[in-house]
Amino acid sequence: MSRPPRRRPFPRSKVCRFCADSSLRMDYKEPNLLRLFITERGKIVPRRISGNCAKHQRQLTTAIKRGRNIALLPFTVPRR
Amino acid sequence: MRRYEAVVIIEPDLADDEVKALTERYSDLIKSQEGELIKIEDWGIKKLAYLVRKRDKGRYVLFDFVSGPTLISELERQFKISEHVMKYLTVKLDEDVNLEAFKAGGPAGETAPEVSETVETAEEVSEESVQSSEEPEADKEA
Repeated sequence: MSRPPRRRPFPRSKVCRFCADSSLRMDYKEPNLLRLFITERGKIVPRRISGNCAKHQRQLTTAIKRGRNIALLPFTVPRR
Repeated sequence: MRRYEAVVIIEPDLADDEVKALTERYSDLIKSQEGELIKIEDWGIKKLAYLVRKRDKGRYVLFDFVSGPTLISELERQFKISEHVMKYLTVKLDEDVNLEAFKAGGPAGETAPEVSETVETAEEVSEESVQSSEEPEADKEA
């Protein structure tokens, strides 16, 4: 039995938020902005979900990783 | 000359004047190596995203400065030596800064540093993960 290939739709914002609003700056010192792009477990939200463009996703990743290093963002959020 | 930015987490229970002495020591170090300090920002005591040295709070201090690359290793060595520095991160903001031009435009208009900051050429100079390796056991999901 073969199932018809079905794409699962996922909620996606179509435009990159950083392209749309150039005043948004990627900065590891702004954890509140970066928090929008990590899951509650602390993982970085993939591009296909967040809708970021490649360039900004790259910048975002480094920003988040820097934030993690300086304890502004969590590496993991342990389960209670 | 390059423009750097160093964020340092200092122990939260350190008295204000001790913090001041500590930041002064580092700014003196920067100046002694022909570096130019642009600003020091004290963000105050913030909650950490994870425990560092079994503490959940830390005092964040940011140094923004222009210097040559050799200063960084010395600065980070000093950070490591100090017992009060819990964690630090140095980031290169700008590769090529002309110090003379910077000094001329620096104190007069604050626009100069802002412009260079938007140029996202920043590269990690070093990421010190002193504690991070033994931080929360990675995903216990399974």
